[in-house]
Amino acid sequence: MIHHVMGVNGFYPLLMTLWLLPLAGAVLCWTFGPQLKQLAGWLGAATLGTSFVLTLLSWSAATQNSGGALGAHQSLLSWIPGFDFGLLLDPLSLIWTFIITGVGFLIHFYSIGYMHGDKAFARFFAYMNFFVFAMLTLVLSDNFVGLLVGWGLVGLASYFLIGFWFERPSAVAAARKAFVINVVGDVAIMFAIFVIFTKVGALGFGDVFANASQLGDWVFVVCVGLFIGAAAKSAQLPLHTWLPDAMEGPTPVSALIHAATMVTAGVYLIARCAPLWSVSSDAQMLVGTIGALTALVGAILGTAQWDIKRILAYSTMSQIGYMIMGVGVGAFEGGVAHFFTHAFFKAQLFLGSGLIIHALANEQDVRRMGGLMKKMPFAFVAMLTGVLAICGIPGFSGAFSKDAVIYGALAHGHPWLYAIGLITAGITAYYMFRMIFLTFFGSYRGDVDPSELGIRHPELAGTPAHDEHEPHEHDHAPAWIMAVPVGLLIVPTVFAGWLMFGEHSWWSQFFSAQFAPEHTVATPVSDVMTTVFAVAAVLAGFAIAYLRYGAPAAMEHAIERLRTETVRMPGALANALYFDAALDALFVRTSQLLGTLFGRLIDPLVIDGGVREVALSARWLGTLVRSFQTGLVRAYALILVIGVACFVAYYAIAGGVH
Amino acid sequence: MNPYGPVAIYLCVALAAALLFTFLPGLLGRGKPNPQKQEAYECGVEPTSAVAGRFPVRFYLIAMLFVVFDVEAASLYPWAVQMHALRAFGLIEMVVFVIVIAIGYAYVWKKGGLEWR
Amino acid sequence: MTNVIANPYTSADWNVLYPLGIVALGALAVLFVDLVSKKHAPKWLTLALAGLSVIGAGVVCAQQYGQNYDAFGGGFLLGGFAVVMQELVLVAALGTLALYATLGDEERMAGTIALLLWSTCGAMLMAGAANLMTIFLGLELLSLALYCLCGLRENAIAREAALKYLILSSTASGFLLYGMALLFGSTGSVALAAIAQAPVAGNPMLWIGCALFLVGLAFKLSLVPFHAWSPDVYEGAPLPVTAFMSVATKVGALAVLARFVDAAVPSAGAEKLLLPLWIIAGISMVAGNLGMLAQHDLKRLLAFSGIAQVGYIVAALAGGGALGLRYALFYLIAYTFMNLGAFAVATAISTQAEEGSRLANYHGLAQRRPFLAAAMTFFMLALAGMPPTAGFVGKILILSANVGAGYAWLAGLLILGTAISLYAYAKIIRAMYVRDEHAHAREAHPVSPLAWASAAVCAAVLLVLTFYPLAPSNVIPLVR
Repeated sequence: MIHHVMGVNGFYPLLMTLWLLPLAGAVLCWTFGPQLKQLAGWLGAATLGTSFVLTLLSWSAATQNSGGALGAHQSLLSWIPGFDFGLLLDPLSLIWTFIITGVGFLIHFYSIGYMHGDKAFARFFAYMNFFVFAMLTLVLSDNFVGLLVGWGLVGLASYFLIGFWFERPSAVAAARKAFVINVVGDVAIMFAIFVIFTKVGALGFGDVFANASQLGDWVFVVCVGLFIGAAAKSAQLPLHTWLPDAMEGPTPVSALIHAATMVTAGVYLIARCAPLWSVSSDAQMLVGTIGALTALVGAILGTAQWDIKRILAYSTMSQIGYMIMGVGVGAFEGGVAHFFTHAFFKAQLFLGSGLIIHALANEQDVRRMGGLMKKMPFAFVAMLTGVLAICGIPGFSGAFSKDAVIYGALAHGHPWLYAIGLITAGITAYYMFRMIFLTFFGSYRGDVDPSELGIRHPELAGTPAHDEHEPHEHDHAPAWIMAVPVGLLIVPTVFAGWLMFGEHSWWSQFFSAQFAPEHTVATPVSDVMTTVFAVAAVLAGFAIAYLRYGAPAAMEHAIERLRTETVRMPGALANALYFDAALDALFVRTSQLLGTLFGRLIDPLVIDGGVREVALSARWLGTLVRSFQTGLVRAYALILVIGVACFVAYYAIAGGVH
Repeated sequence: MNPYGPVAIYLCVALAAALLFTFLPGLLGRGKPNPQKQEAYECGVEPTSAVAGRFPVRFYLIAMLFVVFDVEAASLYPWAVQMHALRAFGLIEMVVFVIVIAIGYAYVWKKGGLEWR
Repeated sequence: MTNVIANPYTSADWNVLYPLGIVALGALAVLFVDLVSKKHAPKWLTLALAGLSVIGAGVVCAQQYGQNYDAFGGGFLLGGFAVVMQELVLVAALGTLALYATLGDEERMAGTIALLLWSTCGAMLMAGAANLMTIFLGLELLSLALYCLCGLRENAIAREAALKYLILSSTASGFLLYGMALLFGSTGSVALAAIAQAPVAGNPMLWIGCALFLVGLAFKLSLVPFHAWSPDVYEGAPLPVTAFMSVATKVGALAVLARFVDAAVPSAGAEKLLLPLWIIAGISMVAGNLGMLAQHDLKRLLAFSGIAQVGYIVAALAGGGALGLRYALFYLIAYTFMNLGAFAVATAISTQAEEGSRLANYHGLAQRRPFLAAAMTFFMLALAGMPPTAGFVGKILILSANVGAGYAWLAGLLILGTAISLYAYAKIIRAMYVRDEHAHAREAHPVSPLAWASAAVCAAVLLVLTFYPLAPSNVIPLVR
């Protein structure tokens, strides 16, 4: 078989370094944590900063080496026949690497302030650096196995970091839930890889995509397998339930892993496997629909949250739904563009919320905020830019990418998904401005008795109890450490979208060699009209939010209104549309039933019994073998002679018959 | 005829002869035993103990060392015969051989292997 | 006037033997130094001389890699195969020297080391031997020195072991020699390769010759049913000797066996000719692993383990072909390091008074010596063929070779044997990690740095082997 490699083979030391540096950082932070103390944070941030610089350098090096179009391939080792491991830097993996190292660096920097004083400070940075290494493995791998290894490792890192405050039972439960659901996805991907290997006989991306036709009808099965993995990692219906719970982790973790990078791995996977998706319209239909539904459901659930981080978590789910819809229907450029802008503005939102949470001593309930605009003008500006970007106000980054996705759905012949996209845009504006109004406008409600706001169990309302892990009031790191990354993020939050502006934008040029030309259909409305529709939906959402939470009339009776809303919250919304209960009934209960069955019947009788029998017979046979070891030379000689006799007899007969 | 036929015949004859001469005396000889006749023939020295008695382990040691020098001597004979034909090569080879044996000999001597303790 | 007999061999022939010569000279030098020193040669000097000669031989041997030469009229075939095998023997010798540095007593050191080096020479000769004469010469040189080495300990078990080994091994050598005589008689040549040209049909002498030849080799490899000696001898011999024996004899005998299989395969009826070999390999995998179950001594346990491991390696040769040979070689290399590593750990926890081979010595080792316990666990997992180890990779390769050559039943027996062996290997691991109530009785004594380092090196090599690029063209690029 001819070996196909994507990109130009070469020697790229910078690429290898940027990949391994975070691992080195993790090992150092882990090993010398007690000695490094506060330096661990700086070390962790510095490795990522260096990685980011190296990303830019290897970008230019790779571009030069491949003569213009970006595509660099570095072979690292070939192991079992058919499996070679190498690094691949092409436009797609570059964009992810850029975000992982760039946004990762800012978030690490921010964490130095946010995690200041935590007793496991070094462990935090060890995990974070390890996560970055895992994520880079995922996106830089040139084959499916490497991708799966990275896929598993990011799941592990996510598990560590969600359960970072492992003394808190809810954090441990959330970590476990995330891990289990992600393993479901890992297994699905593994099966897809099995099918690929059986049908194509190779695992490298280049080989697989060049011979994708050998998959035949199996391409749909492969796509579904890969998509189940993507859905688990990227919180798509119905495997999304772990993401809101994952907010138990420290806020920088939520920003980096559960907003900017890891949860978008599913988008990466689908975009990476674009050649497979392009030939399976069934897979496009399925993934596009689930993406759109996720966007819608996430947005609806976002309207009913009180915990600021859970609002953002559901918005993340909803926005990834957009991305999945985009790459699912075949609008790869648009889907990836939305990943790119989302990484900035969602990191911005999370870090901004972190500023608030930090300042309010771990208060996360928006009902107990309010009027913070005057107290924290910087946080307000940061959050507001993020909200304007996520809503898709023209000019802000989110507008370009989101409209590209929504229009892409129409252009690829899915008018229903187009409609869902537009509706979701309206709902997004509603719940985002709801958050803004509740947090920054009106008067401060933190000193109001929780029961007056309808909060029956403050400890259950997503407000973590104070404990010694949290930074103490008197022990704050300098404020600029947390402010600088947020301030820096404002720039791309506003302007990143302009890369995608216009007919021959920089973005589409950049990806021109990555994705095959998309097969679009004639659309009844143009992309400009789409933007107009979207803006209309956003304005409608904003208007409702304003009337309910922002208008002077609403402000006056804010406390009573919030209490009524809390108490009268429809059960379906309060219970997140019963997804957890449904999964519980469908899978957890049946698993438990099966487990009981196995524990009571099959295990003791069949497996244990079998093992016991095998062990008994093995012991008996072992004794039999040992009984020949009498220690007497004459006995040994006898065995030897009998063996010789058998041999000679066989050969005499075999040789004579010939 | 198979080239190994004569060998087979030779084997049969040898076996037959050995058996014959083992049992023939018993059949043909006139048995008039007395104690002196029953003794093993030991070069005129009167045996003092059972023939199957144990030899001290030293004996084996010396015997084994003897074998080494026996082999050395045995290798020297053919070389001596062909010394002129083998020229310098043969000489050097023999010298190396003797040196090796000599080191071994000296080693055994030093370690007390030749002392009858 | 006598005719001058032209020396038939040129310097090219002698060059092939350089590595062997260096080791042999090293042995002589060791004896000589002992001879001229006042009482006996200092231990460090003996070991340094021996180590130097072994390393020097290794370097010279490595430089021969890539050369092909039929030395001494085909008596010794220089090539990639011979080089790799010789290097393995030298590695075993070097590892054994490290163990002797820890365990040996100074008074007997020189004689012991000299014997060890000559034994090494024998194994190295077997590595390249391609005719019956050199094979036998190498085999006896290897074995005779080992008989003495086995008995070099002041206790009855060691002497018993040496005597048993001597008697049984001589018997086997006798069979081997008889087989060789028959082979020579039927082919008219001492070259192994002549088997391929000999008429097979209606040639019982050739067949019986092969039978006895294989018996002799199977004995040295301790394949069932010719294995009975190995547990007793392994147990009785001093720890370093056991380590050496478990690797070097097997390497030497496997080299010869591989050449025999290689020579026999082209002949008509090769399948019938070699079938018993595969059968005893299959029996060995199962019986060897079963034998491990009831053992309480590491050396005995590893003797049975070695029986099974050799079974795996021989099985890899089934079906012939260069690929099977390469896979066998890969596994042999891995096996060398697993076994040497396990013995290094055993040596590291030994004292002059007590060898650390009883299973009881390993109770609670993880508490006393975490590194050694971890290394031992690694070696045991590798021997058992668990996934993240070279043992696993090797077994997968052997399985693929077997199934590919149509010997699925051998693959089945391999899996069965592996399943049985897990229990025995796990027993050692469990012993090390289960909390020991009697830990105070076994205080940690200082660990020999050399034995520790050997274990570490073996573990590192195994780790590298695990990720050795295994493209078929890449597995031990053999010249021949």
